[in-house]
Amino acid sequence: MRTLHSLDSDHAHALERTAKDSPTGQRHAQKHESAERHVSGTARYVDDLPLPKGALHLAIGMSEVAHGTLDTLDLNAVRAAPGVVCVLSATDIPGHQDVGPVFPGDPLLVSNVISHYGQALFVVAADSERAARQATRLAKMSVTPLPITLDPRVAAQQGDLVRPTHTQARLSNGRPADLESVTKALGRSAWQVEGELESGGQEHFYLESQAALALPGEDDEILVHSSSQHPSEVQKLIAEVLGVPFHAVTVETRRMGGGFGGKETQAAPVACLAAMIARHTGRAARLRLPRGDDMHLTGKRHPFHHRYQFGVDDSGRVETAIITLTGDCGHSPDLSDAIVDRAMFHADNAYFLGNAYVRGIRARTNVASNTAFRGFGGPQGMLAVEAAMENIARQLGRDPLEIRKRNLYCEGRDTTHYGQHVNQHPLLATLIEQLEEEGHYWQRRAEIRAFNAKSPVVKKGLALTPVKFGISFTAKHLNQAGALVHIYTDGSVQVNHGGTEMGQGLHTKMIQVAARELGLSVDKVRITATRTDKVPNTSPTAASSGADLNGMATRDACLRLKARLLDFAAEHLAQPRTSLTLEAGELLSAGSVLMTWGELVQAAYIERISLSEKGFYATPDIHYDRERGTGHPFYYYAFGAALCEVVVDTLSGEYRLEGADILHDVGDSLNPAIDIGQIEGGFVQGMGWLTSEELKWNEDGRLLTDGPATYKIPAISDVPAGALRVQLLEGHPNSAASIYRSKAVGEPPLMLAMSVWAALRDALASISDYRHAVRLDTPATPERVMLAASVQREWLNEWLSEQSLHDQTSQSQPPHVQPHQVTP
Amino acid sequence: MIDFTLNGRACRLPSPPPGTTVLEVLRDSLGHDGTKEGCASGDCGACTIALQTPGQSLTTANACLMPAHQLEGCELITVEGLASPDSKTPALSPVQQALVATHASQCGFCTPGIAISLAVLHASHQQHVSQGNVFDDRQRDTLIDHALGGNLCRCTGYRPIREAAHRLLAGEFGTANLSAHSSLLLASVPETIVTPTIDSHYHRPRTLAALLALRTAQPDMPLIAGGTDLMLEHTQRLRDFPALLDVTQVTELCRIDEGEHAGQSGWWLGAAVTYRQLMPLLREHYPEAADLLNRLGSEQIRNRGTLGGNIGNASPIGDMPPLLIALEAYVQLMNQRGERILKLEDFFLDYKRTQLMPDEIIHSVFLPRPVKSQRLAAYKLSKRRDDDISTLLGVFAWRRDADGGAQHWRIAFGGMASIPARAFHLEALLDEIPLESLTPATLNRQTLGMIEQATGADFSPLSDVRGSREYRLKAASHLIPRVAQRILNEQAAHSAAHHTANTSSSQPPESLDAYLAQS
Repeated sequence: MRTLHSLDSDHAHALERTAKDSPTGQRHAQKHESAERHVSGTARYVDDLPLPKGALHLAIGMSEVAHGTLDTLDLNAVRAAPGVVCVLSATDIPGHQDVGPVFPGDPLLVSNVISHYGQALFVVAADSERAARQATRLAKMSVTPLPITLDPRVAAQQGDLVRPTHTQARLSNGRPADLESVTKALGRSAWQVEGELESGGQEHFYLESQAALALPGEDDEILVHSSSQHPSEVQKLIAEVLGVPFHAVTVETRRMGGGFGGKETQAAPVACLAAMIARHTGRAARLRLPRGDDMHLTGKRHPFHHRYQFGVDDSGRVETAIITLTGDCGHSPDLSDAIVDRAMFHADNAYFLGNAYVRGIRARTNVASNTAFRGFGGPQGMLAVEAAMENIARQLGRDPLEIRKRNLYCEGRDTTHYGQHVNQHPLLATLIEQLEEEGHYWQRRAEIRAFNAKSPVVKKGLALTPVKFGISFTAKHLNQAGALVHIYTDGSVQVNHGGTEMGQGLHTKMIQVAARELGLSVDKVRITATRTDKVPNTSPTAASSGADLNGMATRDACLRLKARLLDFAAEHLAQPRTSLTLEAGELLSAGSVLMTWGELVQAAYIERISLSEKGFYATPDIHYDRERGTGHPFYYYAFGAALCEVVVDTLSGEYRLEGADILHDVGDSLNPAIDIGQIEGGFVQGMGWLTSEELKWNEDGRLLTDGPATYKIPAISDVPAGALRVQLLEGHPNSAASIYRSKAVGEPPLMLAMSVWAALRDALASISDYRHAVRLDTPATPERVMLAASVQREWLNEWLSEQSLHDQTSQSQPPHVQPHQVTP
Repeated sequence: MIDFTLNGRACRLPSPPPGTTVLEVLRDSLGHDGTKEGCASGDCGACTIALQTPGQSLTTANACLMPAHQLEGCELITVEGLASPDSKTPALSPVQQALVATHASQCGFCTPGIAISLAVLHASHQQHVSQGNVFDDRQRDTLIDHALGGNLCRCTGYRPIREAAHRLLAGEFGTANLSAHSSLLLASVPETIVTPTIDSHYHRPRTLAALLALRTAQPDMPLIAGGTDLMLEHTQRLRDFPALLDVTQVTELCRIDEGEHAGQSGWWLGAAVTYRQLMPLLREHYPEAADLLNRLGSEQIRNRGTLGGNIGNASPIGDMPPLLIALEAYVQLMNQRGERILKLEDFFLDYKRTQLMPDEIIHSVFLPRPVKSQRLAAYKLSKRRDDDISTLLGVFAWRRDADGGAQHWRIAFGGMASIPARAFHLEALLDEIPLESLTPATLNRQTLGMIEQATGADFSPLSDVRGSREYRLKAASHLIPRVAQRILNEQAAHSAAHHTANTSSSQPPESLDAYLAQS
């Protein structure tokens, strides 16, 4: 198979060379700031922190019904269990009972109504984790069951929603619209393409489960180490639960063993419970969820039901789209309002919808409250339109790539269904065309058709899909960040900012920003743990925004320090201010060295110049009018495209990724090695979501896939050697004034994996000689793929018999299908 | 007391309760926090350790499933022991350098386990190379897939990890120093770790007689070998074992002996033989079975799990029983009063129920030697290719007749019933219907209906988390055209080889695996 551009060892060597070529490592493939600690086992996570004397270990007692009233909860046997020190339930909460992050609905511990299986009822503290866990099983309770809802469509029909439905409607000429006008427009198109789809949820499966360690201080003070993407919210909720002012609570996060959105809101209850026990007992308290408890207790990516109707002209161009997205929010709002919004904002993916009516329904079901997960609804939002692209292609007898290209945003068709102009939209065509050409799309298409025609069981599929992803929090106030930069008198620099490190390399990038602004090598700069007492009131590290927001805040602090130091130097050394620069650890004047960085810092200190500064940033130009469903919610868009080939065994449903050529837009990369890592990791995580990662509940609402034995994230052999070939789009800096014109990279690559799913559908379409697009719900497990192949064979049989009837009456062309390949 | 060496230092550990795991001891008693807990069920590999047991080569294990008592006499290497101790400031070992250079860690939580798996791969690869074995890139990829199949990473997408492995095996970061290092400080003074001593009820008899006596005396005491299934009782269901009876020190159970039974020659495979130890024999005599074995669990599991355990726990989804039933294996049971030998297919009674009496142990399994015409196909279907439990497993054994046709069918399935079982109706069907009319291209509705009817007569599977009843029945039926096409493709290749020099396979692949083997 031909390859586009391989990031094999040659490429990796090139990355290393760039790192070496730039002695300061400011913009280049600098290694992760914790890489050596990771490989040595010395990188500490919450469960690795040394415990003070008398520390307690915690476990959560969880519900064993999905819905009911908790009539009595008898914890006497739990309290009497060996090793148990303290047991607390809802009545013991000193302050707020509800820890809902935006809207209420998430009781820290249930006091009255249980609303999902595995909900937290009480917390046990014991002198060992095992004793605490064993004791949780001794609780006696009586529960009056209530009816449970597991199907979001049923909930939606019953009007059982966690938040009101939101609609975006716009005619292709920019006028406001409603369902009636868009439906009318739909009827005017030459073709109508309709369908529905179900997409499954996704467990985050961060390798480090949720964890917190609470250390009581003097009076009401408390320090909590939390594996959290949002320390400020953890601080707020702990303070509210304990009924103390925010300034009594400090939350620290050095690093997480993976987050992916799962530690944006879901870390807080764990931290609150640890804090409650610490407060109650005056002893340190650690709660680290066992994997199964974590999977039962915490929310996942929202499953969605997608319904779509597209009006299409004869060329395959979409004229009208009506899309209804029903998100399965679980039992409470959590972040679902914003998540379903983001699904709606991405219902177009990369395509101009024309007359559009997009509706987002937030259904309540009796499962753990679904939450943020890389992409935050965006990936789910895009599935319907990507499904439709293939359906349109099959209906019109065109190649899906042709249909996708025809519908990309372009000049004159460049405004989304919520009224935002798509800046840099020509990059979509650039990405697709480059992959099409360098990936030899059409030659491979021909080879695959030839292969499939001769191979009755094993079929190959090919798909090239784009991604457009909006960058900014859609909650406007979150688009702010702070940083704190200290220069010490030995010249070493300590940077602190509001973002958290979950493996994505944010700290590494922030070190590079500070080093670049101060003209230092990266080893002079150290990042310390994120702490709410260093940078307050921070936003979550989410929405791919970590480097954008904190990079600008860090830069702001560094620029202030640099200006102050240069002002001082100009005066102190009697040099013209404009001639002074900081480069490679030296103060230069018009290119000649005046003194070293260390000397400059020393001199400034002696002259009583402040060597510490804070920085701040707020994203400009963003707004969204929720009443009218229009605005400019995103500072900019990030783009990408992926060309995937799969091979499918249509009798068993087994399949394998043969190759993925990816071209992705990160503007001017802050760190190509880290960005490529995000793209590769996001792609494979997205592939897991769409293929092997299947969540199953029983009819009582109990999650059955509660561990890695039954919940299957991709393993190494699912990414065969040489299959993943990533290239960064070069020469297209961000048109928005982001940090060094880079682009956010955390979430967008996940959606590149839609090409895997589209390639599976392409392989299945070959069974019908590309005449019929089969519905393929996700995750497309081998079971779903095999059953879809059976559907295709049934379709073909019917089609053939219709054709033969037709042939008897007219002399039409015989079908280009081997009629004997049809039975199973 | 448990005596072992930890990263080259002698270590003496007061006996913990019988079910205590190596991971618990490392993290809670020994302060070795580098080894992580990701799942405590042997599925993610974050807790991977390297282990050298006397007389065995260096292997990986999941610390979360290994009883601490099995450390006795072992050398244990954790991530803390990888860095070179030669210099004063610990220098990164080759494997660590490779992971750093390739940007192969992101969140870092899986990294210690991956570093250990790679270090052991590096050492064993080096040993193979020193013995004159040469591996090409593709073979190295297979080695890497096998070595890392049980190490889940949620961040990187594995591409840089695979690159690190390749560059490591290519020698770019120097030679493996793992085994040399581990014996470096063996003679140093014991380091006593203070933890409360609890009377141990962890029994490790060294003789068969002692084992049988203990079994008779305490039939309720669980038997343990690799612990890869039983230890889930401790870590997931939080059961405190009052006592455990460890069979792994009984020499007779750890041996593979050539022998005869029921007029056939073959091998007596001891019940405590690990999958790893079984691998060379299968590779030589039943290569398809070796391929199947490579998809059982992960390397860490294959290093510890045993044949007897896979049979004894009587899971309907164990991979060894269908294989062994199709190969006409026997099982030898023993108690203090004597032994009895049963056909393996008669051993399983019902869900998790077997013929094993409370005072009996599984002593060994008799695996017949293949006759020359013996053929085998093992088809494992699972949601994920590696490190997954079978949704269903179909094993087909037949004998090739003079014309290249198939006869003497024996078919066994796992995942299709409450026990692993023969598919008698499918066997009869294959005896009756010519293969030519069973291929994917020739199968008609009527024949497919007959296959589905036979499958339905053999099995009535349940819907569960791994697959629906509908999928199981259909997918099992679809294995018939697969195996039929496979045999015809072999015939065609065979006659093509006889008649022309051009043997390029013009036959379409009958399965994904066949396609991958061709390409």
